[in-house]
Amino acid sequence: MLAAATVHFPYMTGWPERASSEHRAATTAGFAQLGRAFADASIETVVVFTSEHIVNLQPRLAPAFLIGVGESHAAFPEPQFKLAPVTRLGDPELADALVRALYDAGFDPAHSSELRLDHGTTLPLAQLGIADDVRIVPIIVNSIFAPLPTLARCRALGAAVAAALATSTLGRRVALLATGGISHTVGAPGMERNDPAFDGAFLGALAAGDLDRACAYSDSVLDAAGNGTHEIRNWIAVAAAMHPARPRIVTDIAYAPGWDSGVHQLLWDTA
Amino acid sequence: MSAATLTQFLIDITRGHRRDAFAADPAAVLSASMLDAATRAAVQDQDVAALWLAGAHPMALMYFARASGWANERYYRCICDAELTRAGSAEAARTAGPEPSRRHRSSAPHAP
Repeated sequence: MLAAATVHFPYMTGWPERASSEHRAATTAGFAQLGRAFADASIETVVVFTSEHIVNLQPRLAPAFLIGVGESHAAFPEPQFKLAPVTRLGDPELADALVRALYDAGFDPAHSSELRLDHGTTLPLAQLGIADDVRIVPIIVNSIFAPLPTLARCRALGAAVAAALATSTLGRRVALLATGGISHTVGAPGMERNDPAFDGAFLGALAAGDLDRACAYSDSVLDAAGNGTHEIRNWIAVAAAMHPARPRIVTDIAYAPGWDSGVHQLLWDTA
Repeated sequence: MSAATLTQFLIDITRGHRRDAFAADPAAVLSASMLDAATRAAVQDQDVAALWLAGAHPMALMYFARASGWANERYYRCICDAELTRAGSAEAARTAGPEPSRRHRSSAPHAP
């Protein structure tokens, strides 16, 4: 199975000119490399472990995991990020099968026939060049409204999704995609910097296939690295789904001034 | 009134079912809300610093500031100043007795 992980910070589309030409080129090349892998594998459905930014999840209702089971997934308008208001095809058959398999495996994800996407999903799909006819099954992991699912639970979820896909009789060519992170801050003091030391340690754990180490962070440690750092849950889920395979580090920019972030991308191409 | 109530209200008026009503008549929407009087005044006056200190979720508060016409730079300057105020208050309180300062956390954004 093919899998990738990538940041999704919207500065790269909203204000690309703020970063250096070197960093822009490296980011574009990274997305191109991941996109080629998806295209070469003739992927039919992408299961996206993703975060969102108050589109579906709110204090009123914030499930740990939310799976989009609709025929399509419309994007929340975000013109400030220069993202087209796309509607992505869903894969209700596979999504329904995933929900049922996860129930059997001891998970109780919420499901939605009208889940809406935001830049957490639409930006990477666009940058990867994922074709419009490729179906999307979004799995939103709550990373904004506490209490959040534990890293260990996200690891288990990833493994359960992989097991469900491995026994699926639907015959889809499926890839996994994790988006978000790594360390960053949104809406709070410190948004101008990521934490390169944290990013390096976390990436190192994933690259070594050391999921125990990747899951060892407490929420307070993640808070200290920035409130957006909780999105590493998505990376952990995909890493667990692909375990024991180890990823290749495709892009590793510790800090891109102007974008106020690091740029990190991983690829698991085990086929 | 909990910080979650405030956060939900900010979401409702910026991207939820109360958005149009709030744009048309903010006072009416505020008077029908579960917010306390001080918080209603802070929303009405776009007092982002007060809302920050009241425990609004950072992302929801940022959306409120944007919807109120604030540039990102103004928003971040405001909340950084609010944090400095909080830190100063905490320092003053520390000399009178131990009381840890509060931080906004995603894992516990509404913790006192």
